[in-house]
Amino acid sequence: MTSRLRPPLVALFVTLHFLCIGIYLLPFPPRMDAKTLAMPDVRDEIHRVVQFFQQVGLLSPASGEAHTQLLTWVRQYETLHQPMRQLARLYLEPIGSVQTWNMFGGTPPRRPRVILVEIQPQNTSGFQLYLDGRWGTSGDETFNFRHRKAQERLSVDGRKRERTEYARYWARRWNQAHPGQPAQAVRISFLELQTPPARAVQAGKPPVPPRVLLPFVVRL
Amino acid sequence: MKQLWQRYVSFWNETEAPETLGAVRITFGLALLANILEQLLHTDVLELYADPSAGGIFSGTSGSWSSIFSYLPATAEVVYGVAVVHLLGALLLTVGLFSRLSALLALVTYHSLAGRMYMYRFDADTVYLVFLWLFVLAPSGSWGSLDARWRGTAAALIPAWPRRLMIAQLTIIYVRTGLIKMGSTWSFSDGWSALYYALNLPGLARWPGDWVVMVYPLSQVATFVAKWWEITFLIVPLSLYFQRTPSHHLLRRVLAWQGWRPLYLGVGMLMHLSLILVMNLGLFPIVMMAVYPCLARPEEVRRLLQRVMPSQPS
Repeated sequence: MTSRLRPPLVALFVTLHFLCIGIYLLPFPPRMDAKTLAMPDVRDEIHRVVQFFQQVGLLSPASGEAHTQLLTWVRQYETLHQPMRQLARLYLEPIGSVQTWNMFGGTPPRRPRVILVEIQPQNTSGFQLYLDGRWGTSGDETFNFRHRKAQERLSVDGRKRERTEYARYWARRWNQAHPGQPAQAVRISFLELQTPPARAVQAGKPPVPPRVLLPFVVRL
Repeated sequence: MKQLWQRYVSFWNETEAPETLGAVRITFGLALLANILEQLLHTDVLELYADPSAGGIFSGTSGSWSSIFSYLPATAEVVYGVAVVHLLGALLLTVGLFSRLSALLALVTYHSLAGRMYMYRFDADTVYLVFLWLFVLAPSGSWGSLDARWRGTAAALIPAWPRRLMIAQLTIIYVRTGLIKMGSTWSFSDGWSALYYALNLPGLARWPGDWVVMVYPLSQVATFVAKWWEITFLIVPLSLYFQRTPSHHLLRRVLAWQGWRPLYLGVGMLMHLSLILVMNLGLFPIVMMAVYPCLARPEEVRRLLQRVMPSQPS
Protein backbone atom coordinates (compact mmCIF):
# COMPACT_ATOMS: atom_id res chain seq x y z
CA MET A 1 0.00 0.00 0.00
CA THR A 2 1.50 3.37 -0.91
CA SER A 3 2.03 5.81 1.94
CA ARG A 4 -0.31 8.30 0.22
CA LEU A 5 -3.24 5.88 0.27
CA ARG A 6 -2.71 4.56 3.75
CA PRO A 7 -4.03 7.52 5.83
CA PRO A 8 -7.46 7.78 4.15
CA LEU A 9 -7.80 4.00 4.16
CA VAL A 10 -7.13 3.89 7.90
CA ALA A 11 -9.77 6.60 8.44
CA LEU A 12 -12.25 4.73 6.22
CA PHE A 13 -11.65 1.46 8.01
CA VAL A 14 -12.13 3.06 11.44
CA THR A 15 -15.34 4.70 10.22
CA LEU A 16 -16.69 1.40 8.87
CA HIS A 17 -15.80 -0.32 12.14
CA PHE A 18 -17.69 2.28 14.19
CA LEU A 19 -20.62 2.30 11.78
CA CYS A 20 -21.09 -1.46 12.01
CA ILE A 21 -20.85 -1.45 15.81
CA GLY A 22 -23.15 1.57 16.04
CA ILE A 23 -25.85 -0.05 13.91
CA TYR A 24 -25.59 -3.26 15.86
CA LEU A 25 -25.87 -1.47 19.17
CA LEU A 26 -29.12 0.35 18.46
CA PRO A 27 -31.52 -1.00 21.08
CA PHE A 28 -33.93 -3.72 20.02
CA PRO A 29 -36.44 -5.95 21.83
CA PRO A 30 -35.03 -9.48 22.09
CA ARG A 31 -38.39 -11.13 21.34
CA MET A 32 -41.78 -9.79 20.33
CA ASP A 33 -43.82 -13.00 20.13
CA ALA A 34 -47.10 -13.38 22.01
CA LYS A 35 -45.62 -15.81 24.56
CA THR A 36 -42.82 -13.42 25.54
CA LEU A 37 -45.20 -10.47 25.73
CA ALA A 38 -47.43 -12.50 28.05
CA MET A 39 -44.59 -13.23 30.53
CA PRO A 40 -45.36 -11.50 33.86
CA ASP A 41 -42.02 -9.63 34.01
CA VAL A 42 -42.38 -8.39 30.41
CA ARG A 43 -46.06 -7.52 30.89
CA ASP A 44 -45.32 -5.55 34.07
CA GLU A 45 -42.47 -3.65 32.45
CA ILE A 46 -44.53 -2.74 29.35
CA HIS A 47 -47.32 -1.61 31.64
CA ARG A 48 -44.93 0.70 33.52
CA VAL A 49 -43.52 2.12 30.27
CA VAL A 50 -47.04 2.75 28.91
CA GLN A 51 -47.98 4.50 32.16
CA PHE A 52 -44.88 6.70 31.91
CA PHE A 53 -45.58 7.65 28.28
CA GLN A 54 -49.20 8.40 29.19
CA GLN A 55 -48.09 10.63 32.05
CA VAL A 56 -45.83 12.67 29.76
CA GLY A 57 -48.55 12.81 27.08
CA LEU A 58 -46.79 10.76 24.41
CA LEU A 59 -49.42 8.02 24.43
CA SER A 60 -53.18 8.04 24.46
CA PRO A 61 -54.72 7.84 27.97
CA ALA A 62 -56.90 4.84 26.92
CA SER A 63 -54.92 1.91 28.29
CA GLY A 64 -55.54 -0.75 25.59
CA GLU A 65 -54.99 1.73 22.76
CA ALA A 66 -51.74 2.99 24.31
CA HIS A 67 -50.42 -0.53 24.68
CA THR A 68 -51.14 -1.32 21.00
CA GLN A 69 -49.63 2.00 19.90
CA LEU A 70 -46.39 1.30 21.78
CA LEU A 71 -46.04 -2.19 20.29
CA THR A 72 -46.74 -0.80 16.80
CA TRP A 73 -43.90 1.73 17.22
CA VAL A 74 -41.51 -0.99 18.36
CA ARG A 75 -42.47 -3.27 15.44
CA GLN A 76 -42.02 -0.43 12.91
CA TYR A 77 -38.59 0.30 14.35
CA GLU A 78 -37.73 -3.40 14.13
CA THR A 79 -38.66 -3.47 10.42
CA LEU A 80 -36.11 -0.74 9.74
CA HIS A 81 -33.44 -1.91 12.13
CA GLN A 82 -33.24 -5.62 11.28
CA PRO A 83 -31.93 -5.33 7.66
CA MET A 84 -29.27 -2.84 8.81
CA ARG A 85 -28.17 -5.24 11.54
CA GLN A 86 -27.80 -8.05 9.00
CA LEU A 87 -25.53 -5.83 6.92
CA ALA A 88 -23.33 -4.89 9.89
CA ARG A 89 -23.17 -8.55 10.85
CA LEU A 90 -21.33 -9.35 7.62
CA TYR A 91 -18.28 -7.58 9.07
CA LEU A 92 -18.76 -8.25 12.78
CA GLU A 93 -19.61 -11.96 12.73
CA PRO A 94 -16.39 -13.39 11.21
CA ILE A 95 -14.21 -11.36 13.60
CA GLY A 96 -16.26 -12.35 16.65
CA SER A 97 -17.27 -8.77 17.37
CA VAL A 98 -21.07 -9.10 17.33
CA GLN A 99 -21.93 -7.16 20.46
CA THR A 100 -25.03 -5.99 22.29
CA TRP A 101 -24.10 -5.17 25.92
CA ASN A 102 -27.44 -5.68 27.67
CA MET A 103 -26.07 -6.32 31.15
CA PHE A 104 -28.96 -5.96 33.62
CA GLY A 105 -30.92 -3.94 31.08
CA GLY A 106 -33.77 -2.95 30.76
CA THR A 107 -34.35 -4.23 34.30
CA PRO A 108 -33.15 -7.17 36.44
CA PRO A 109 -35.91 -9.80 36.72
CA ARG A 110 -38.23 -9.56 39.69
CA ARG A 111 -39.23 -13.19 39.17
CA PRO A 112 -36.00 -15.15 38.76
CA ARG A 113 -36.24 -18.78 37.68
CA VAL A 114 -34.15 -21.62 39.07
CA ILE A 115 -33.83 -25.12 37.71
CA LEU A 116 -35.17 -28.33 39.22
CA VAL A 117 -33.96 -31.68 37.88
CA GLU A 118 -35.89 -34.77 38.91
CA ILE A 119 -35.01 -38.35 38.05
CA GLN A 120 -37.21 -41.38 37.77
CA PRO A 121 -35.00 -44.43 38.37
CA GLN A 122 -35.81 -47.65 36.51
CA ASN A 123 -38.60 -49.82 37.97
CA THR A 124 -39.95 -46.98 40.10
CA SER A 125 -43.11 -44.96 39.58
CA GLY A 126 -42.25 -41.50 40.90
CA PHE A 127 -39.68 -38.78 40.30
CA GLN A 128 -37.13 -37.85 42.94
CA LEU A 129 -35.46 -34.47 43.20
CA TYR A 130 -31.86 -34.71 42.03
CA LEU A 131 -30.86 -31.11 41.66
CA ASP A 132 -32.32 -27.96 43.13
CA GLY A 133 -31.02 -24.65 41.81
CA ARG A 134 -32.12 -22.59 44.79
CA TRP A 135 -29.63 -20.88 47.07
CA GLY A 136 -27.78 -23.02 49.57
CA THR A 137 -28.72 -26.33 47.95
CA SER A 138 -26.26 -28.89 46.66
CA GLY A 139 -27.28 -27.93 43.13
CA ASP A 140 -26.53 -24.29 43.75
CA GLU A 141 -23.07 -25.10 45.02
CA THR A 142 -22.15 -27.34 42.11
CA PHE A 143 -23.09 -24.92 39.38
CA ASN A 144 -20.40 -23.09 37.53
CA PHE A 145 -21.53 -19.64 36.36
CA ARG A 146 -21.61 -20.91 32.77
CA HIS A 147 -24.14 -23.60 33.76
CA ARG A 148 -26.27 -20.86 35.28
CA LYS A 149 -26.20 -19.00 31.98
CA ALA A 150 -27.32 -22.13 30.13
CA GLN A 151 -30.12 -22.65 32.65
CA GLU A 152 -31.22 -19.03 32.23
CA ARG A 153 -31.51 -19.63 28.48
CA LEU A 154 -33.40 -22.90 29.05
CA SER A 155 -35.80 -21.19 31.45
CA VAL A 156 -37.45 -19.35 28.56
CA ASP A 157 -39.96 -21.46 26.66
CA GLY A 158 -38.71 -23.17 23.49
CA ARG A 159 -35.29 -24.75 22.92
CA LYS A 160 -36.74 -28.27 22.93
CA ARG A 161 -33.54 -29.82 21.55
CA GLU A 162 -31.35 -28.18 24.18
CA ARG A 163 -33.73 -29.19 26.99
CA THR A 164 -33.60 -32.80 25.84
CA GLU A 165 -29.80 -32.67 25.68
CA TYR A 166 -29.60 -31.12 29.14
CA ALA A 167 -31.93 -33.77 30.55
CA ARG A 168 -29.80 -36.52 29.01
CA TYR A 169 -26.70 -34.94 30.54
CA TRP A 170 -28.21 -35.10 34.03
CA ALA A 171 -29.30 -38.69 33.37
CA ARG A 172 -25.67 -39.54 32.56
CA ARG A 173 -24.56 -37.89 35.80
CA TRP A 174 -27.21 -39.80 37.76
CA ASN A 175 -26.19 -43.08 36.14
CA GLN A 176 -22.54 -42.52 37.05
CA ALA A 177 -23.49 -41.84 40.67
CA HIS A 178 -26.05 -44.69 40.85
CA PRO A 179 -24.67 -47.50 38.69
CA GLY A 180 -27.19 -50.08 39.90
CA GLN A 181 -30.22 -47.84 39.44
CA PRO A 182 -30.11 -46.15 36.03
CA ALA A 183 -32.55 -43.36 35.18
CA GLN A 184 -35.55 -44.13 32.98
CA ALA A 185 -36.85 -40.56 32.78
CA VAL A 186 -35.73 -37.04 33.62
CA ARG A 187 -38.01 -34.11 34.40
CA ILE A 188 -36.64 -30.59 34.09
CA SER A 189 -38.72 -27.73 35.37
CA PHE A 190 -38.19 -24.22 36.63
CA LEU A 191 -39.20 -22.69 39.90
CA GLU A 192 -40.31 -19.10 39.49
CA LEU A 193 -39.39 -17.23 42.64
CA GLN A 194 -40.59 -13.74 43.37
CA THR A 195 -38.33 -11.09 44.86
CA PRO A 196 -40.63 -8.94 46.97
CA PRO A 197 -40.11 -5.17 46.81
CA ALA A 198 -37.82 -3.96 49.61
CA ARG A 199 -40.74 -2.09 51.20
CA ALA A 200 -42.76 -5.32 51.43
CA VAL A 201 -39.85 -7.09 53.15
CA GLN A 202 -39.39 -4.19 55.56
CA ALA A 203 -43.12 -4.28 56.34
CA GLY A 204 -42.79 -7.99 57.19
CA LYS A 205 -45.10 -9.20 54.41
CA PRO A 206 -44.87 -12.97 53.81
CA PRO A 207 -42.99 -14.08 50.67
CA VAL A 208 -44.98 -15.12 47.60
CA PRO A 209 -44.80 -18.91 47.18
CA PRO A 210 -42.85 -20.04 44.09
CA ARG A 211 -44.53 -21.50 41.00
CA VAL A 212 -43.34 -24.53 39.06
CA LEU A 213 -43.09 -23.76 35.34
CA LEU A 214 -42.32 -25.48 32.05
CA PRO A 215 -42.08 -29.11 33.21
CA PHE A 216 -40.39 -31.13 30.51
CA VAL A 217 -40.03 -34.91 30.68
CA VAL A 218 -37.49 -36.90 28.69
CA ARG A 219 -37.95 -40.68 28.65
CA LEU A 220 -34.70 -42.51 28.10
CA MET B 1 -15.94 19.70 4.28
CA LYS B 2 -12.64 18.69 2.70
CA GLN B 3 -10.76 20.34 5.55
CA LEU B 4 -12.87 18.48 8.09
CA TRP B 5 -12.16 15.17 6.38
CA GLN B 6 -8.43 15.96 6.31
CA ARG B 7 -8.48 16.73 10.03
CA TYR B 8 -10.36 13.46 10.62
CA VAL B 9 -7.80 11.52 8.55
CA SER B 10 -4.92 13.21 10.38
CA PHE B 11 -6.42 12.37 13.77
CA TRP B 12 -6.64 8.67 12.95
CA ASN B 13 -3.12 8.65 11.52
CA GLU B 14 -1.27 10.17 14.46
CA THR B 15 1.54 8.21 16.03
CA GLU B 16 2.59 7.68 19.64
CA ALA B 17 5.15 5.88 21.80
CA PRO B 18 4.37 2.16 22.20
CA GLU B 19 4.42 1.80 26.02
CA THR B 20 0.65 1.98 26.60
CA LEU B 21 -0.21 -0.56 23.94
CA GLY B 22 2.49 -2.86 25.29
CA ALA B 23 1.16 -2.49 28.84
CA VAL B 24 -2.47 -3.19 27.88
CA ARG B 25 -1.31 -6.21 25.86
CA ILE B 26 0.27 -7.64 29.02
CA THR B 27 -2.73 -6.99 31.32
CA PHE B 28 -5.23 -8.20 28.73
CA GLY B 29 -3.06 -11.23 27.95
CA LEU B 30 -3.01 -12.16 31.64
CA ALA B 31 -6.82 -11.86 31.81
CA LEU B 32 -7.08 -14.06 28.70
CA LEU B 33 -4.79 -16.64 30.28
CA ALA B 34 -6.88 -16.58 33.47
CA ASN B 35 -10.01 -17.18 31.39
CA ILE B 36 -8.77 -20.28 29.58
CA LEU B 37 -7.06 -21.65 32.69
CA GLU B 38 -10.33 -21.24 34.63
CA GLN B 39 -12.05 -23.33 31.99
CA LEU B 40 -9.33 -25.96 31.81
CA LEU B 41 -8.91 -26.31 35.57
CA HIS B 42 -12.39 -25.59 37.00
CA THR B 43 -14.79 -26.92 34.39
CA ASP B 44 -14.98 -29.83 32.03
CA VAL B 45 -13.93 -28.43 28.67
CA LEU B 46 -15.53 -31.35 26.87
CA GLU B 47 -18.87 -30.69 28.58
CA LEU B 48 -18.74 -27.11 27.37
CA TYR B 49 -17.58 -27.53 23.80
CA ALA B 50 -17.67 -31.13 22.56
CA ASP B 51 -20.49 -32.86 20.74
CA PRO B 52 -22.72 -34.95 23.09
CA SER B 53 -21.24 -38.12 21.51
CA ALA B 54 -17.82 -36.95 22.75
CA GLY B 55 -18.83 -35.92 26.29
CA GLY B 56 -20.47 -32.58 25.56
CA ILE B 57 -23.82 -31.43 26.88
CA PHE B 58 -25.29 -29.53 23.93
CA SER B 59 -24.87 -30.35 20.25
CA GLY B 60 -24.40 -26.61 19.67
CA THR B 61 -23.60 -25.00 16.38
CA SER B 62 -20.46 -24.83 14.31
CA GLY B 63 -20.64 -21.01 14.34
CA SER B 64 -19.66 -18.77 11.44
CA TRP B 65 -17.42 -19.64 8.49
CA SER B 66 -14.44 -18.33 10.46
CA SER B 67 -14.90 -21.00 13.14
CA ILE B 68 -12.64 -24.04 13.17
CA PHE B 69 -15.72 -26.16 13.92
CA SER B 70 -17.12 -25.31 10.50
CA TYR B 71 -14.39 -27.56 9.12
CA LEU B 72 -13.63 -30.02 11.94
CA PRO B 73 -16.01 -32.07 14.11
CA ALA B 74 -16.25 -31.24 17.83
CA THR B 75 -14.56 -34.45 18.97
CA ALA B 76 -12.61 -34.64 22.23
CA GLU B 77 -9.28 -34.42 20.40
CA VAL B 78 -10.30 -31.37 18.34
CA VAL B 79 -11.81 -29.56 21.35
CA TYR B 80 -8.71 -30.15 23.49
CA GLY B 81 -6.53 -29.19 20.52
CA VAL B 82 -8.37 -25.89 20.01
CA ALA B 83 -8.28 -25.13 23.77
CA VAL B 84 -4.53 -25.83 23.95
CA VAL B 85 -3.81 -23.70 20.86
CA HIS B 86 -5.89 -20.93 22.48
CA LEU B 87 -3.85 -21.24 25.66
CA LEU B 88 -0.67 -21.02 23.58
CA GLY B 89 -1.99 -17.96 21.72
CA ALA B 90 -2.87 -16.25 25.02
CA LEU B 91 0.57 -17.04 26.44
CA LEU B 92 2.41 -15.77 23.36
CA LEU B 93 0.30 -12.61 23.30
CA THR B 94 1.09 -11.94 26.97
CA VAL B 95 4.86 -12.28 26.46
CA GLY B 96 4.61 -10.52 23.10
CA LEU B 97 6.05 -13.14 20.80
CA PHE B 98 4.68 -12.80 17.25
CA SER B 99 2.10 -10.55 18.92
CA ARG B 100 -0.29 -10.03 16.00
CA LEU B 101 -0.18 -13.66 14.95
CA SER B 102 -0.70 -14.74 18.57
CA ALA B 103 -3.70 -12.44 18.84
CA LEU B 104 -5.11 -13.91 15.62
CA LEU B 105 -4.53 -17.44 16.91
CA ALA B 106 -6.23 -16.61 20.20
CA LEU B 107 -9.10 -14.88 18.37
CA VAL B 108 -9.82 -17.70 15.91
CA THR B 109 -9.73 -20.34 18.64
CA TYR B 110 -11.82 -18.28 21.10
CA HIS B 111 -14.33 -17.41 18.38
CA SER B 112 -14.62 -21.09 17.48
CA LEU B 113 -15.14 -22.14 21.10
CA ALA B 114 -17.57 -19.28 21.80
CA GLY B 115 -19.58 -20.24 18.70
CA ARG B 116 -19.86 -23.81 19.98
CA MET B 117 -20.94 -22.81 23.47
CA TYR B 118 -23.71 -20.38 22.63
CA MET B 119 -25.73 -21.77 25.55
CA TYR B 120 -23.03 -20.79 28.06
CA ARG B 121 -21.80 -17.64 26.44
CA PHE B 122 -21.94 -14.43 28.43
CA ASP B 123 -20.74 -10.87 28.04
CA ALA B 124 -17.16 -11.44 29.24
CA ASP B 125 -16.65 -13.70 26.20
CA THR B 126 -17.68 -10.85 23.94
CA VAL B 127 -15.31 -8.44 25.73
CA TYR B 128 -12.42 -10.86 25.13
CA LEU B 129 -13.36 -11.31 21.47
CA VAL B 130 -13.79 -7.64 20.56
CA PHE B 131 -10.46 -6.70 22.15
CA LEU B 132 -8.68 -9.66 20.57
CA TRP B 133 -9.67 -8.32 17.15
CA LEU B 134 -8.22 -4.94 18.11
CA PHE B 135 -4.97 -6.66 19.14
CA VAL B 136 -4.86 -8.32 15.71
CA LEU B 137 -4.90 -4.80 14.25
CA ALA B 138 -2.46 -3.31 16.76
CA PRO B 139 1.35 -3.41 16.75
CA SER B 140 1.24 -4.28 20.45
CA GLY B 141 4.54 -6.15 20.40
CA SER B 142 6.55 -2.96 19.88
CA TRP B 143 7.28 -2.59 23.59
CA GLY B 144 7.63 -4.85 26.64
CA SER B 145 7.68 -7.91 24.45
CA LEU B 146 9.90 -10.69 23.20
CA ASP B 147 9.28 -9.28 19.71
CA ALA B 148 10.93 -5.98 20.73
CA ARG B 149 13.78 -7.74 22.54
CA TRP B 150 14.32 -9.97 19.53
CA ARG B 151 14.53 -7.02 17.18
CA GLY B 152 16.91 -5.35 19.62
CA THR B 153 15.84 -1.89 18.51
CA ALA B 154 14.56 0.94 20.67
CA ALA B 155 10.80 1.36 20.69
CA ALA B 156 9.73 3.41 17.68
CA LEU B 157 6.58 5.42 17.22
CA ILE B 158 3.52 3.34 16.35
CA PRO B 159 0.08 4.24 14.96
CA ALA B 160 -2.21 5.61 17.67
CA TRP B 161 -5.48 4.46 16.07
CA PRO B 162 -5.55 0.88 17.42
CA ARG B 163 -5.32 2.16 21.01
CA ARG B 164 -7.91 4.82 20.25
CA LEU B 165 -10.21 2.08 18.98
CA MET B 166 -9.67 0.30 22.30
CA ILE B 167 -10.63 3.45 24.22
CA ALA B 168 -13.69 3.82 21.99
CA GLN B 169 -14.62 0.16 22.50
CA LEU B 170 -14.34 0.45 26.28
CA THR B 171 -16.51 3.56 26.15
CA ILE B 172 -19.05 1.85 23.88
CA ILE B 173 -19.39 -1.04 26.34
CA TYR B 174 -20.08 1.22 29.30
CA VAL B 175 -22.25 3.81 27.57
CA ARG B 176 -24.41 1.21 25.79
CA THR B 177 -24.80 -0.76 29.00
CA GLY B 178 -25.86 2.42 30.77
CA LEU B 179 -28.26 3.52 28.03
CA ILE B 180 -30.01 0.15 27.91
CA LYS B 181 -30.78 0.42 31.62
CA MET B 182 -34.09 1.99 30.68
CA GLY B 183 -36.26 -0.20 32.88
CA SER B 184 -38.25 1.23 35.74
CA THR B 185 -35.93 -0.20 38.42
CA TRP B 186 -33.08 1.89 37.05
CA SER B 187 -34.98 5.12 37.62
CA PHE B 188 -36.93 7.06 40.23
CA SER B 189 -40.16 5.44 38.95
CA ASP B 190 -39.31 2.23 40.81
CA GLY B 191 -37.10 3.73 43.49
CA TRP B 192 -33.67 2.92 41.97
CA SER B 193 -34.19 -0.69 43.03
CA ALA B 194 -32.27 -2.47 40.21
CA LEU B 195 -29.29 -3.47 42.32
CA TYR B 196 -31.61 -4.79 45.03
CA TYR B 197 -33.26 -7.08 42.45
CA ALA B 198 -29.92 -8.02 40.82
CA LEU B 199 -28.51 -9.04 44.20
CA ASN B 200 -31.52 -11.30 44.67
CA LEU B 201 -30.87 -13.31 41.51
CA PRO B 202 -29.89 -16.88 42.35
CA GLY B 203 -26.86 -17.90 40.36
CA LEU B 204 -25.60 -14.39 39.75
CA ALA B 205 -25.57 -13.11 43.31
CA ARG B 206 -23.05 -14.85 45.53
CA TRP B 207 -25.34 -15.09 48.56
CA PRO B 208 -29.08 -15.11 49.23
CA GLY B 209 -30.27 -11.53 48.88
CA ASP B 210 -31.84 -11.15 52.35
CA TRP B 211 -28.99 -8.87 53.46
CA VAL B 212 -29.63 -6.31 50.68
CA VAL B 213 -32.82 -5.05 52.31
CA MET B 214 -30.73 -4.01 55.34
CA VAL B 215 -28.59 -1.76 53.14
CA TYR B 216 -31.38 -0.83 50.74
CA PRO B 217 -30.63 2.94 50.68
CA LEU B 218 -27.00 2.15 49.86
CA SER B 219 -28.12 -0.16 47.03
CA GLN B 220 -30.30 2.69 45.69
CA VAL B 221 -27.33 5.07 45.66
CA ALA B 222 -25.18 2.40 43.99
CA THR B 223 -27.89 1.85 41.35
CA PHE B 224 -27.98 5.56 40.55
CA VAL B 225 -24.18 5.89 40.48
CA ALA B 226 -23.67 2.74 38.35
CA LYS B 227 -26.19 3.84 35.71
CA TRP B 228 -25.00 7.42 35.40
CA TRP B 229 -21.31 6.50 35.66
CA GLU B 230 -21.82 4.19 32.68
CA ILE B 231 -23.83 6.63 30.60
CA THR B 232 -21.40 9.49 31.20
CA PHE B 233 -18.24 7.43 30.68
CA LEU B 234 -18.02 9.25 27.33
CA ILE B 235 -16.49 12.10 29.35
CA VAL B 236 -13.24 10.11 29.66
CA PRO B 237 -12.29 9.96 25.95
CA LEU B 238 -13.62 13.49 25.43
CA SER B 239 -11.42 14.67 28.29
CA LEU B 240 -8.37 12.98 26.76
CA TYR B 241 -9.19 14.63 23.42
CA PHE B 242 -9.70 18.14 24.76
CA GLN B 243 -6.57 17.98 26.93
CA ARG B 244 -4.54 17.95 23.69
CA THR B 245 -5.22 21.57 22.87
CA PRO B 246 -6.01 24.33 25.40
CA SER B 247 -9.24 26.19 24.75
CA HIS B 248 -11.10 29.19 26.17
CA HIS B 249 -14.46 27.57 25.49
CA LEU B 250 -16.06 26.83 28.89
CA LEU B 251 -17.43 23.36 28.07
CA ARG B 252 -14.12 22.29 26.54
CA ARG B 253 -12.25 23.54 29.58
CA VAL B 254 -14.58 21.60 31.88
CA LEU B 255 -14.18 18.46 29.80
CA ALA B 256 -10.40 18.92 29.70
CA TRP B 257 -10.22 18.74 33.50
CA GLN B 258 -7.37 16.37 34.45
CA GLY B 259 -9.43 14.82 37.23
CA TRP B 260 -12.07 13.11 35.06
CA ARG B 261 -9.96 10.12 34.14
CA PRO B 262 -8.80 9.18 37.67
CA LEU B 263 -12.32 9.82 38.97
CA TYR B 264 -14.02 7.57 36.40
CA LEU B 265 -11.37 4.87 36.61
CA GLY B 266 -11.49 4.95 40.41
CA VAL B 267 -15.26 4.50 40.44
CA GLY B 268 -14.91 1.79 37.77
CA MET B 269 -12.36 -0.14 39.82
CA LEU B 270 -14.54 0.18 42.93
CA MET B 271 -17.58 -1.01 40.98
CA HIS B 272 -15.83 -4.01 39.45
CA LEU B 273 -14.13 -5.02 42.71
CA SER B 274 -17.50 -4.79 44.50
CA LEU B 275 -19.02 -6.93 41.74
CA ILE B 276 -16.36 -9.58 42.34
CA LEU B 277 -17.35 -9.60 46.01
CA VAL B 278 -21.13 -9.76 45.67
CA MET B 279 -21.80 -11.34 42.27
CA ASN B 280 -20.56 -14.31 40.33
CA LEU B 281 -19.96 -12.90 36.85
CA GLY B 282 -17.01 -15.06 35.96
CA LEU B 283 -14.06 -13.08 34.65
CA PHE B 284 -16.12 -10.13 33.43
CA PRO B 285 -14.86 -7.63 36.07
CA ILE B 286 -11.29 -8.87 35.57
CA VAL B 287 -11.22 -8.42 31.79
CA MET B 288 -12.84 -4.98 32.05
CA MET B 289 -10.16 -3.79 34.47
CA ALA B 290 -7.50 -5.47 32.33
CA VAL B 291 -8.21 -3.07 29.45
CA TYR B 292 -8.15 0.07 31.64
CA PRO B 293 -4.42 0.68 30.93
CA CYS B 294 -5.40 1.66 27.37
CA LEU B 295 -6.49 4.98 28.91
CA ALA B 296 -2.98 5.79 30.16
CA ARG B 297 -0.62 7.99 28.17
CA PRO B 298 2.66 6.38 27.08
CA GLU B 299 4.66 8.77 29.28
CA GLU B 300 2.51 7.80 32.28
CA VAL B 301 3.30 4.13 31.72
CA ARG B 302 7.00 5.03 31.39
CA ARG B 303 6.91 7.05 34.65
CA LEU B 304 5.11 4.26 36.52
CA LEU B 305 7.62 1.74 35.29
CA GLN B 306 10.53 3.91 36.36
CA ARG B 307 9.00 4.20 39.80
CA VAL B 308 8.46 0.45 40.11
CA MET B 309 11.70 -0.57 38.38
CA PRO B 310 14.20 2.30 38.80
CA SER B 311 16.87 0.42 36.79
CA GLN B 312 14.65 0.54 33.68
CA PRO B 313 16.16 2.82 30.99
CA SER B 314 13.98 5.85 30.24
